[in-house]
Amino acid sequence: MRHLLLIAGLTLATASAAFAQTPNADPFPPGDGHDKVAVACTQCHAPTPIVTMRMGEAGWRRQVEIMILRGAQIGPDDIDRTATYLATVFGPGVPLPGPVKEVHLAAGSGAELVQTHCSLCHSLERVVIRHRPGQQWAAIVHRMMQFGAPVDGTEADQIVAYLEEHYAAQ
Amino acid sequence: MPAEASVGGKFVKELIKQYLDNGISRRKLMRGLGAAGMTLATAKTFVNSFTPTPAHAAEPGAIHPATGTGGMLYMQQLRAAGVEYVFFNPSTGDAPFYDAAVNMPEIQLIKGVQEGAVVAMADGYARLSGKIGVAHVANVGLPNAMTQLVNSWKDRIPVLLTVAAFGTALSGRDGPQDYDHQETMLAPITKWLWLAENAVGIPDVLRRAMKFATTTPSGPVFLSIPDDFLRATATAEIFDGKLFTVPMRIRPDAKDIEAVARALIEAKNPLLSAGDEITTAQAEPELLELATLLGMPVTMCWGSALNCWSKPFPTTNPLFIGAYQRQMGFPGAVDVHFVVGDQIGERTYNGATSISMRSDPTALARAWPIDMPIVSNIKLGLADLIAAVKSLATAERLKSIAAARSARAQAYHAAQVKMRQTIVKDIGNSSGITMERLGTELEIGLERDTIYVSECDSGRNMDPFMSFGGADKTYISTGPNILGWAQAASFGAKLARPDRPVVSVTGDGGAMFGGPQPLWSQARYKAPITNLVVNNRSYNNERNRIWSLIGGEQYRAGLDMTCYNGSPDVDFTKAAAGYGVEGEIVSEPAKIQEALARAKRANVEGRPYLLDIHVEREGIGAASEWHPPFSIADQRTRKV
Repeated sequence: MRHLLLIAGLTLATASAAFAQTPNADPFPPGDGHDKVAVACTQCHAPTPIVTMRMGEAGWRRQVEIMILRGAQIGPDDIDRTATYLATVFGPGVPLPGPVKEVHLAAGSGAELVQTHCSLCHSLERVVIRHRPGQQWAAIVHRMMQFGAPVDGTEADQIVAYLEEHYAAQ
Repeated sequence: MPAEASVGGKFVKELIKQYLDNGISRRKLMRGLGAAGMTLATAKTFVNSFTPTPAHAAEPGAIHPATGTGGMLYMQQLRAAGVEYVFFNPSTGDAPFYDAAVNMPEIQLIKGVQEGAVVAMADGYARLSGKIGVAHVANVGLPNAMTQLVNSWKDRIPVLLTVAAFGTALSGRDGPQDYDHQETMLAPITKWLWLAENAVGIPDVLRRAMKFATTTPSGPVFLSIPDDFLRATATAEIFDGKLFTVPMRIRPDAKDIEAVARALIEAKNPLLSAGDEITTAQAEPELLELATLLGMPVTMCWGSALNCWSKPFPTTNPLFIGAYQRQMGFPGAVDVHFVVGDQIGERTYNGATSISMRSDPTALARAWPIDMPIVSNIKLGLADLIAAVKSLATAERLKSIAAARSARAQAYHAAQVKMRQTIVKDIGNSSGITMERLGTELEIGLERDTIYVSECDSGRNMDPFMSFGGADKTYISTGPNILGWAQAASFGAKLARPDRPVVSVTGDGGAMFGGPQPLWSQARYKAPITNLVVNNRSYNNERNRIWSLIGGEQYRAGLDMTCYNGSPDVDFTKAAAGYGVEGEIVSEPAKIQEALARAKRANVEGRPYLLDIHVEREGIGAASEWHPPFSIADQRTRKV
């Protein structure tokens, strides 16, 4: 059954992508790069994945490059502009759509950094919902930095140490 | 006479004499030639040169009577149709097929060890040979075969799938492995299906099945033969393949073609979308000539490679501009959209007049409306169109039109190349293997004429870094992307094209779906194939799509409930070794070339090889290795 469900999943994903429709209301804020994103990105999928994500310029740039390789028509001269636009209108600190659940972090050194920085891009519920193995936290924080999380190396170490202490899987 | 024939001198001559005098069987002759130093392939070619095969022996269009078991009649009909290979896995009821095979050296049996792999091998063979792929599977394993038959159905690949069904005395009694009217399960995924009604009619239903499978638009067919009919003896007519080979050399209406030619000449900004029916018709040269003649930009597939299984236009040609979309920055406001043999390409381009030439009349204008639909043999239709274009405009005018159009397309194509170089530069410092790096390395390391058999969804990100079509690598995939196909299909591809390098490309997900069963066949039959497992321990693009396209609770909570494949971290080289295939793990970018060289060396020596390439996961949620924890051991109240 698992086998069949996965096949069905592949098919569903393909079908939903192939017939994605752009809603009438413009979900993309105005800005230099709006027109490129509004046309190129919605040829294959709905705006949802863009408007619900928050990343810095490096993260968006990588995402744009991956989409180009999968067929998005964004030219070489548009990569920087598109990444900058996305990082501006959907970057760290831009409020997330919909209600965000309030989360109380465990007290400890580093909690404030997590509270301040991690919540710039996503709900803190994502952080606390499951405990994870220690090395996993380091990998995730490193990946967040690649996506443009505004933390330096020292702050990242403090965040990892905090998460390992309070949210590590046993 | 091949040089090897002189090996053994008198011994070989004596063998041939005995064979021609009916003193020894063909099998014994082949064995003797092997002992004299000939390879199997050379011996086969050599013996065929002086042996009249039934197809040669019979007059064109001949029908001849034969007496034997139903299984024997079936195999004789396959042979009369020119079938050389039968892909199978054994079951009790099938025995009469294989009894007949004992004295039928013209048909080589190829064993697979799971029904899905058997069908995918036949499918890969059909895609590369242009001939029908014949698969016999165990009756009870039919549902396994069906998963891969979906790939054949959606891509219109001629595959004959046969089972020995329960005998007429037992079927319908709800036996342990019996269920009523099983053949109807195949109805949505076959072009035709039939339940044989007696032994004497077996060659005739087989003839019909093969006719349906191979007549354009081709597709899979299913034949169910009750096993008592296979065991019964009958005298029946065997039909030469010529009697049911329908040429389908249908030319389009001349007026229609003239109208299309005029529209393409006069278009301000035309676009050409090329699809798989071009590959099936072997019309790539005509496509290239037409696009060049008119300077038209060409798209293929959609979303990089979904919904298409081949790349009929050279990806390095300056007129190639990438995947089709219904609104494209370049070429912008298209006024005439010409679709050739392409299902997804028929999707309406905003504001353009649509023209579609298809060999499949049932598919034409089905998904989206078309302004000018044309049914034609693609190769002949394109040839007629080229002639019409040349008759309607002077060579000078055509040159001028093509120059203006192609200048824009070439500039766009060049910019795409430059952009890919920029992307590679951006990820240049990565210590792990990215898809972009892997694509770049494969472009360097694989032979230019490689047959690249891919089902790797993440791998589509590396496709733009490689050259396909024309004199470059041949790209073969599946439109529906039903996993578990590539390793088996690559076997069929190698069988169809033994003198070309063949590479299979699967993700770790695909390798677990369909592998390592196909590796058994690769090892058994010494198929020199390089198997690449692009291993990111995840259904990576599946997770990306779930999180990004659907969103939902998994994305909100950052929990990947389904797609992480690590824990356990599968070592595909150990799995391959268990099946008799050598391999190695590659985890550093700098080690890719030397690993490819070792794989190539093994292939040159006649052995398959597997590279388990550890690549980076990409996208949102990629860093997480969390998966829902659950342990059956923890559920126990007794430690047993």
